[in-house]
Amino acid sequence: MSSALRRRGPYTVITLLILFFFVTYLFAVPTPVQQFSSQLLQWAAVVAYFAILVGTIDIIRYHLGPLRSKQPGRWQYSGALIAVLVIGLILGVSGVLSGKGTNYEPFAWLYNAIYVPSNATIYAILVFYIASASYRAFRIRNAQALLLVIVGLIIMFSNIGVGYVIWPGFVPLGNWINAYPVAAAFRPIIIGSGLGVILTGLRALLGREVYGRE
Amino acid sequence: MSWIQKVDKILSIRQILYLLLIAVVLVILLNPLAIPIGIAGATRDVYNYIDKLPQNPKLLIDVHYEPAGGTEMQPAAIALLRQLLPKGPKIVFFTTHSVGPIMFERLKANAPDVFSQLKYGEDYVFLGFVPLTEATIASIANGAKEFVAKDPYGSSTADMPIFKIADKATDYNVAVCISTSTDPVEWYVRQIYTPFKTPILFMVVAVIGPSVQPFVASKQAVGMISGQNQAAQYELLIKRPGSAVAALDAQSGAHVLIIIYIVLGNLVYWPMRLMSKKGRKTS
Amino acid sequence: MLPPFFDTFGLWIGAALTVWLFSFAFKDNALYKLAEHLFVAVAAAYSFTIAFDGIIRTGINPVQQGNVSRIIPLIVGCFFFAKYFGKYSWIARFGPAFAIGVGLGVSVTTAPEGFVLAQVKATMLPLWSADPITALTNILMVLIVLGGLTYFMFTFVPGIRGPAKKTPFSRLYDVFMKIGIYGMMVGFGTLFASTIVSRVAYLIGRLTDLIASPQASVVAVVLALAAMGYAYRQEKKTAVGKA
Repeated sequence: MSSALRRRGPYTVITLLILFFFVTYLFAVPTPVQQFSSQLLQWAAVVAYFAILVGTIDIIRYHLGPLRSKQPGRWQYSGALIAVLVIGLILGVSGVLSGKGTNYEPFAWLYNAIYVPSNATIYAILVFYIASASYRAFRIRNAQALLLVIVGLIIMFSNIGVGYVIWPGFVPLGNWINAYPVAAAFRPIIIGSGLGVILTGLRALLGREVYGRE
Repeated sequence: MSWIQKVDKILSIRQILYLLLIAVVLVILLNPLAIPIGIAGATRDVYNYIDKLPQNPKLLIDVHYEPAGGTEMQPAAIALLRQLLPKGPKIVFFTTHSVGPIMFERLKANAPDVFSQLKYGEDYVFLGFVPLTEATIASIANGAKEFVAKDPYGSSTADMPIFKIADKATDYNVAVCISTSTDPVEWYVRQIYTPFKTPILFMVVAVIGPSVQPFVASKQAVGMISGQNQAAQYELLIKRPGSAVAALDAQSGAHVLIIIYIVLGNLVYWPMRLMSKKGRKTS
Repeated sequence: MLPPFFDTFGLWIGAALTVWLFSFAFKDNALYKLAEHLFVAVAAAYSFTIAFDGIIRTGINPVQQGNVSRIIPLIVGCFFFAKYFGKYSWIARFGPAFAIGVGLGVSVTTAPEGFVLAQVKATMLPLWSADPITALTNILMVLIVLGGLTYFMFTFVPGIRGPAKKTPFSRLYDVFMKIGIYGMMVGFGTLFASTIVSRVAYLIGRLTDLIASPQASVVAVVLALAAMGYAYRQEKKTAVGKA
């Protein structure tokens, strides 16, 4: 029984929850049941916080390996990571326990000085790859690529002041392309994603969804 | 080696392309050109919709962007708040992004003219970070104050006057999703619009704009501000040009350079392709 | 209250991290790796803090205020930590199972109406209108949606067994597939142009911050160049050693 609980228990929980939400959404149920449904939503949100805690612990465990074994070329960086992470944790948790939350000044300094510029820069690096892709990969080899480039150029001109100066019509043309053909082009993707969600739920209900190695 | 091949060899050194891009953007940032900006119909639609909201509109705003996305989204968010201010809005802010609290503090710091006129707890409240899950959006839609007992500043939400009039999704005039990813967008559509028919407004980074467009086209959302260019247009419509307008000259320069790269790439590619075809025919 | 020195120090660190992270686009080097690891460290610490704060505000505070039922998600959340105790690691699966079950439950109930029906309804447009532009636009939209659905849903080519045999149905299928592909190209062209706006905006944001701290930026650039030069030399040495 315990091995059945271990293997099938989580799937049973998922199936029961999906069924419960189906019933409460589609049928008229007594008020206490509706209230319990709202409560379940709140509980799931609280449970989700714990996943973030586990993620941080896993990062520490991952970097302790190279540090312990003094792996050449890696242990210094892992050491720096763990040191700064521990300092951050001490400052952050102190701030939370003192009631100041993330506005605790030393902690706020840490994330404003390190996290904010780094996060912004990590995303900004991608612009370089766009630039090199524009030269090396954007080659018009067939009619489809030609259409892609023409539409891309029209939208690029509609997005910038230079386009408006060259021809003011770029702006309404770009607006029309976005509002109609682009909406139509991405609509099948949304319909497909909706069908995918329905099928995933159905598979979970029928016990056919596999979430990992058994 | 022909001259075309020499040009291709030089331009294939990607570091040259990167340095040129940095140089162009830097020069224009230091020497603005004040290029005129056209206003798109989509931006005007959003402006007109907000303009037509009744007095004391109630809004739910998800501040879901990180520092990178802040360059595009913060100007749009500030413009929205400035347009709303004369109407005496009541706003419930929250964030599903872990860095959202930092971005909310930056939003407050960069719009002191707005927040100095709003009273915390009465005119606006910040619920802090809530996990990025669909259940969270559904919880907020079913009753924000019941889900979050205390705000990040330690105040109890139970006693706040704002929640007497703006707590569930049906209370809001419009729910705004300021987002850098499609997840909150989809959850807003499924958990706020579909069950409660609360109007939704999206403010998204340009890269996800096309994916969000079908929701606007199907009228599930009342409108969308997508990208720094539309944020700049919105700033112009409210007659308060800010950082988005200031950045648009540099956007123009970078775009022109990338267009030159695309044209050069093809001008180099086609002769080389024809030459290699000729070479194969004769050999 | 932190001493004023920290403000300047913070700006210098920010500029240095920005330049060192950018240097990756030119050459992988030690300063980039250091910046990357510092970023991950602070991101992890910040995420932990914010989650810890959230658990207190939405879990522990409600219990203290009398909402005793919130103990249940706190217990279920603790199941996540069972993965670190080998014998009891199977308990850890119940935590995500609960979150996934609720998430799937709310999404599956509203997806048919919100994603499928609403989009299909929006595609049912009048194909005739007094205004020719409206009529053409509507026809174009319907064709692109049908073409896109054909391309995504029906990835087989009917009527092909052995030598290609074109039936009227397979010809119609080909036409819709082609329309779908060209429709997609319009979408991807717009996506490319929109991506440029976003990425350039990020670059503008970073360069604006670097312009605000010119001395820090120059020092950081010099250090990054030194690190890249060192990395290049190391690479050459390794290549010569191998040869």
